[in-house]
Amino acid sequence: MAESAGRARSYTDLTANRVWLSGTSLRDLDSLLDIGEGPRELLPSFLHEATHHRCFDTPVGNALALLQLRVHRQALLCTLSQEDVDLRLELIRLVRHLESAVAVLQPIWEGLACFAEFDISTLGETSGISTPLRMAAEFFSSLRSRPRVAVGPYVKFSDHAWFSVITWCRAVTHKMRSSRAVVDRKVELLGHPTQSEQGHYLFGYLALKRLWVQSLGHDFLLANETDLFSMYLTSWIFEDWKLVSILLDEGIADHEPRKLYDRVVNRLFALTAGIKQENLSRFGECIELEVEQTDPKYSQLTESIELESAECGAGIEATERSLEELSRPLIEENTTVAPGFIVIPSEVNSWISKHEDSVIKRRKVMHIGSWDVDIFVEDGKYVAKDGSGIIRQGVALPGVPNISGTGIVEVLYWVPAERRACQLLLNGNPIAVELGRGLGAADGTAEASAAAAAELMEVLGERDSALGTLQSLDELTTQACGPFQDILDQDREWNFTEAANLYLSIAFASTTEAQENHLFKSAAEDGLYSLLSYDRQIIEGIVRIGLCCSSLTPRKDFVVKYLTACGIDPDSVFEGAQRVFEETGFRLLAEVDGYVIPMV
Amino acid sequence: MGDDVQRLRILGLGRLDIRELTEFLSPTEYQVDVDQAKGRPGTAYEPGTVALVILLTSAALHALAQWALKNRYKKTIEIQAEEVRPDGSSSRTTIKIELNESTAEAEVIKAIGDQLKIGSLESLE
Repeated sequence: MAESAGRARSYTDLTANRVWLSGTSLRDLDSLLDIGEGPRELLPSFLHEATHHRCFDTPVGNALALLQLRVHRQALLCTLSQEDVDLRLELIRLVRHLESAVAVLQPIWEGLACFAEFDISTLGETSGISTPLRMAAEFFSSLRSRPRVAVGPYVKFSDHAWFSVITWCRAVTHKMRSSRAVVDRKVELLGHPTQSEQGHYLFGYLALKRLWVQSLGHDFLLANETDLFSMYLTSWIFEDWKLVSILLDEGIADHEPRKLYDRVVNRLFALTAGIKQENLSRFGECIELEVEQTDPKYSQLTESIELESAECGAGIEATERSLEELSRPLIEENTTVAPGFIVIPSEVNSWISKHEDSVIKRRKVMHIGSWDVDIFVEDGKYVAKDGSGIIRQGVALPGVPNISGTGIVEVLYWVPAERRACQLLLNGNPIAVELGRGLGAADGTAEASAAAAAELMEVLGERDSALGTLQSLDELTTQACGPFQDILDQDREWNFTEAANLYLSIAFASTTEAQENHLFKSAAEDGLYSLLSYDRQIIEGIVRIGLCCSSLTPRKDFVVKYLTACGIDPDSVFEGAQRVFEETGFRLLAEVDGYVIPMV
Repeated sequence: MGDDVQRLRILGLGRLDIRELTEFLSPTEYQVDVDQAKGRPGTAYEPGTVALVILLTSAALHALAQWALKNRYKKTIEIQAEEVRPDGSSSRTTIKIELNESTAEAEVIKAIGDQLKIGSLESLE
């Protein structure tokens, strides 16, 4: 767990796609399992991490995970065969490739996560909502029943409580975005020095906002439907099968970071003129149907994000080949290992295979929280207790013997089935699994629920220890790369600088070269703070305008009243933004026909 | 920073808070605790915050008050903090300051002092 000055920071692991949410506790168990009753203070972190989970649960996210597993396999081989130079060179190639990919993509997934916190919204003018927003509705909406009446021409998600979700979205995002905690989170974001290790949050976010503003020129629908923009951008980058091919295949053979980098640059710059309206319409039709990869309509989705069918085919094949490689034994029976190692190949192969299987299967499950409890099982029934009494009780899984001890209770979200689940584990073994009711999912019969629980058990298996194993294999990788650390360090510096330049050049696209240089220098040290003279009222004013536009209304007359109600002088904020524009060419706010468009 | 003086570890601050607060403090009176979290490669953390450790002196109380007044438009300021005593023991506390247009520095100092159970400014010297 990462401490952030007293508060642990939530995170999502790229490989295992395991989320750890800060701020949850055992006392939230019931509310997290009841529809819409989750603790609201969790919502900003939830939206942030659910967005990461969504980005990583995509073809590109899966490719990054497969690449990481391949790195770990190679590191194990290097460790066991220390004298083999070719194995080590291959390891370095793989590590450099993975790190280049992470460096160039991280700003997008962080930018999207910040965009989810501060900007995503819908007025119901689209035919679907993003996975993070839908999940947030299930956890925090306070909705207890489906709507009885279908409303409006776009209500096609009858199973998803469409109207209620939209209502929820407006009500909750407003409340969340007017809270001091969220205002402070965005104020903090705008001050991230772009040259620091955490710089990718700001340059990723600024670039995304720029792409959003550019897209308004083609389709003003996106002014309110920021959730649609987020969905499109997620697909545009993370469902890019061409990028998958480069990640898993083409780019590795002769480490060519340019190929990877150029692909991401080309994709991003293709959007700097804005999302094409015809693409957005086709994309909208696909999200309505929640088109899966196996669906005949999948080609419509890929066409809407400008992918050729051959590119998709190659990416899918590269993924399948990678999965097949993982199914092969790591060590052959007759392998000679380095002195000092006693290796039983079948055991190593079985161990690594089980680990990889667990990592891959669980990637579609979002972990919400887990806590220690005392578990007692007797005659097929279980009771879970803590110091304050009984936490949960019910029927244990078939075959669980009478047993007791300190175990774990977990809350999970199973994304494909759109269901929350509660799992109890003792000594690493599952004791019980209960599926929660979904917002719109047809809960079905008891048999259907049992079948769904059994299916989930297949995915979950035993206790999730993948993260610990991944950390151990990371250490092994670092050791195996030992002599090449200097090269890797140089790479990291280069990767970071290139990524910063790429995203900042998108963010500051409308400026002259001299202005851009000035903005780069200024942002490197203090984010946007120095541009705004460190004036808290102006900084917070800019932040509040953005939050007001995304959760209440972008009407300028209202925005002015809103700022005044917050104790902020609207004139000084608009004048401050205008001054920055005049001095640097960088527009923080735009105004169109009485509406404000927040550019940051 | 001296170990024989009670300290206040102010949690969850942003960069702008740190900049504003330290304007009122001399460099020997504070220390900034930056998040050094390192996860697995590519781990997607939510953005972090910073803690400021200050020696609990009367000058520090004045600084806190001045910073609070600079933010008076917020009307209410809540400071999450950890009191660290010279014997190493510590306890968490929340300091709540209500502000309006006429709030004076002395009132803010008193509010902070009361919540930290400080008898008088002189006792901090």
